[in-house]
Amino acid sequence: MFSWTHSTGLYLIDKQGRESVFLDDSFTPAQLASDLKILLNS
Amino acid sequence: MIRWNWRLASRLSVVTLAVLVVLIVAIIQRNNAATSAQLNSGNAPPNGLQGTSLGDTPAPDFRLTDQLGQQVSLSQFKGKPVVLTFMYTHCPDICPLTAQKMHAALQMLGSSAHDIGVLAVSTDPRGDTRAAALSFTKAHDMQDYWHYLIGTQTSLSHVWTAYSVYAAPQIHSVSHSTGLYLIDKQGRESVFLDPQHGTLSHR
Repeated sequence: MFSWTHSTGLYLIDKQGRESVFLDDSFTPAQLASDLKILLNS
Repeated sequence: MIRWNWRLASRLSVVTLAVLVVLIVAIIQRNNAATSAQLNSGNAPPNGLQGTSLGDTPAPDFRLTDQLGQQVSLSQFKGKPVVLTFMYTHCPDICPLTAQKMHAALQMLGSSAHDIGVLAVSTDPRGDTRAAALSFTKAHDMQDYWHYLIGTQTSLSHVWTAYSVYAAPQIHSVSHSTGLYLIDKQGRESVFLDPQHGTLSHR
């Protein structure tokens, strides 16, 4: 089985289906939770 | 008289040239500062969001199969925020960490986490079978949170391209975990330093 090289990170997409922000793989759970709260309330 | 005029003209030329150089440098610096400010403000996420702004461009839709064999499309989550990431199940380092951090973030949100779509798209069409996706999902306690999406090379590569994701098997190079183990005077593993995430774990 091969190892794979691939891009990492998270796309956050808003309720309207628009690309909002990109978090690279150094994100923390607190940062992600904070962004998601904002998007949930927007 | 003529000789004096030549000296004066020469001095005036040097002064004029110096003034011109100063003016050109000042103009270039001002333009660079304006461009930099424009770029930074363009990348600043709105509304207190952290991360790199993507400018609210429409997210390309796709349809793949999840770990339970269900067809899932991005567009079915309209009305909910969506977290979209790319990984593979036998990835030894970044992917398990990403899954763990996503799990921790979703737990912080409590019941609101179920109002969010969470999609992990495979970057390994060969190794990420349904069984592997299900096992990875269970290993990271994500059964209630995400759809781990698998597919053929063709169907996955359309999604990779749409989101500018690079994915390729490593044939001639070796992937390996990184970090430092610090071992104390008694020969015991004391801490692990992770350069990728700037974290330190006590063992």
